Amino acid sequence: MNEARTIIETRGLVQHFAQGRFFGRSVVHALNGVSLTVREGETLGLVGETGCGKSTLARAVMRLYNPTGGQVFFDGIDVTRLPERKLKFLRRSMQIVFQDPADSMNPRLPVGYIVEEPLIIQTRMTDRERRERVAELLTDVGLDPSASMRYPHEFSGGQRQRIAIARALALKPRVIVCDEPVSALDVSVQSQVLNLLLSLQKAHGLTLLFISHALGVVRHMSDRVAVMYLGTVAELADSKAIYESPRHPYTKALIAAIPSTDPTARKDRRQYSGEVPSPLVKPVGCPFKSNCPIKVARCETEKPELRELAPGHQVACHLA
Amino acid sequence: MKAPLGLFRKRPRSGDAPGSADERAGFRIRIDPLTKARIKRFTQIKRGYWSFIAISSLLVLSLVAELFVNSRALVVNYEGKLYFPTYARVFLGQEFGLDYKYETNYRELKETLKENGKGWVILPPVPWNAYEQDFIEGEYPPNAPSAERRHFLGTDIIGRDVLARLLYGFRTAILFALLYVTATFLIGTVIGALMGYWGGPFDMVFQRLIEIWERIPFLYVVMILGAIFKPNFLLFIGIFVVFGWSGRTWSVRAMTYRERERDYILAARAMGASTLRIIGVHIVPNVLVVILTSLPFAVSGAISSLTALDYLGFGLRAPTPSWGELLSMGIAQYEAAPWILASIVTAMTFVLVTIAFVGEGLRDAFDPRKHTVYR
Ligand SMILES: Nc1ncnc2c1ncn2[C@@H]1O[C@H](COP(=O)(O)OP(=O)(O)OP(=O)(O)O)[C@@H](O)[C@H]1O
Ligand code: SF4
Ligand SMILES: [Mg+2]
Repeated sequence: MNEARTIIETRGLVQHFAQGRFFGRSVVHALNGVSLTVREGETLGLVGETGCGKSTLARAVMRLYNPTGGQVFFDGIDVTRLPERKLKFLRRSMQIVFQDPADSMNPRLPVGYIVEEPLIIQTRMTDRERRERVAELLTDVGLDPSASMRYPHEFSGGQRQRIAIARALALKPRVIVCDEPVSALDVSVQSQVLNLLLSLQKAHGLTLLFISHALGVVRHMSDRVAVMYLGTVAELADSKAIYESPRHPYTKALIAAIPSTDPTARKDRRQYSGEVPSPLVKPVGCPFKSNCPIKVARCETEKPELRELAPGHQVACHLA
Repeated sequence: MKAPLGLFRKRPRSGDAPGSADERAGFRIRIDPLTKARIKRFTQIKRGYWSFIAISSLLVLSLVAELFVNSRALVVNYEGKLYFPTYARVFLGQEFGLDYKYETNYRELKETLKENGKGWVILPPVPWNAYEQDFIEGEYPPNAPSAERRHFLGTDIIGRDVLARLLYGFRTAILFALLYVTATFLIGTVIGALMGYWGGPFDMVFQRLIEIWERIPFLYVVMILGAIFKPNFLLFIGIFVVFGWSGRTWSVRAMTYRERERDYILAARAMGASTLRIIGVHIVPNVLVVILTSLPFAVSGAISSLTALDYLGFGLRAPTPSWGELLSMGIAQYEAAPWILASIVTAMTFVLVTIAFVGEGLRDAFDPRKHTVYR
């Protein structure tokens, strides 16, 4: 896997959002310099608690936002500042599946049109070719082609997420960004949708950027895992390494907090308890400093960079 | 299972003819079930629904008013030949054996033909148009209602038939209102949606522009322009639209602002949809509700404004049949000719109340609070 080429790379990606106008204008520091790579064919899991910037990272990588700073590369091409009209190749190569399938589909359009729309926009396929492709896609995600005449609200959450996956697959993309694709679903259907994603990945050689706040789900899905905290990557390593030998204090706390099924294997639960600092304040020093049990003076002023401590294991901590 | 209207009912295999036009249409421009449910609910709100039927019938009726209220005959049989003057060219008196070279007076023709037996004439129920004056010997207009002379609502102070003026005045007013409302809603929706969707400097500039624009006392400006140009119907609509579009932007802008943050818009952008497509296919159909429910109120507002201007004498050029003129005449002559005031007040009340009922019905039917939208 290590030999695989890099398909997505971010270098020091910064994303700010302006809030309010004129008076009392404030800046949300959603991403504060994110550097990571996604390799072709792998699943990179992205974990972190709510508000840490996972969705923002996904959208910035897809160029749904204009990044405030840093760079985004897709397949070696710098797409950070490309105008929309030059992003066609990116739009064809990278698609997204959102958390809430009800919100990610226009309720006024029939499912067939929803799945067909990317083909209408991006290809010169004829009507008939498109319709055949839609039927094929719906079959691929385990739905009956007759679904195309119905509307999103006539389906269950799991089925709707299958429709969203069919839409994402329509253009035969190389990367699919899954932004918490099962968080809004019943537990009973979560694993079905996850397994569908895995089998589609195998069948089409897809690269997945898989976002979740559920560590268990990420472990099940991912080859490598990036742990995010307050707009930065705290640790990035192979899935096994993250779960078995975490190096960053935040990752350690997260892993320790996973309820173990084996009572004898309970590790010391150093539950970190503090508040997550507000993203409205410009971060100085280590983002995790206010909750870190082992912090030192240096952490207050100096931001730890992501360093490779072992082959393929990057950690952003002065003491790791 | 749904009705087998489905696109994939027979999936075309290679060599098959492409899907029929019906199937194609079924896929795209079907009324979506949300809208269907709303329309159904509207038809269940009896008052609004019947008001809608009434006002639309009245509109259709007024569009073919020439068949009911008109000085031209419906049918003339002259020397064995049939003529249908209503929508035909002008027939001169000569052509029917009369001794003049201007347009035939069909009421006289009817009498003449009855006497000389050369044919017959069928007149509309009200054989008067909105412009001609009827002078009765020994009487001065306004003349009281008279079934015998076919002035069912009497005449105005210069002898014109009140029913004819009322009906053609309604046509002027409702067409004016519909054209005005359509134009302002189109412009307002497009600009409002762009403001909401783009936000930023475009939104800012237009917001300030509209705020300034809306400070201009619209009716005064119309009066001044009206006094200078003596505008015709289209120019008049033009002036109204120029000042009226801005009020339509706010609600669309606000709704668009909300919609654009939703994931389905992001999904559309992620597949490379153009701004035009996002606004046309995704945003407008979803914000149409606010537009639709305010439509009837905008129509009645436009009718009232036009009437008010005509009342003050700044409206459409005389002798265009107009409600405002009838109203002012009715008020001035309410002792001598109470039928004028009674007619116009009844007609206005009926029309405005009916439209208000339609609006109320639409609002109730489309009220999202009553409607469960899946989330
Ligand atoms: N369009 C926006 N405008 C302003 N602030 C935003 C915007 N999008 C995100 N934010 C803020 O940026 C921060 C990161 O948000 P983001 O949605 O990326 O977090 P997340 O990790 O995906 O969280 P969750 O698990 O809840 O989805 C949050 O504080 C959020 O409020
Ligand atoms: S850099 Fe300092 S504060 Fe940050 S995680 Fe490491 S020890 Fe804790
Ligand atoms: Mg998120």
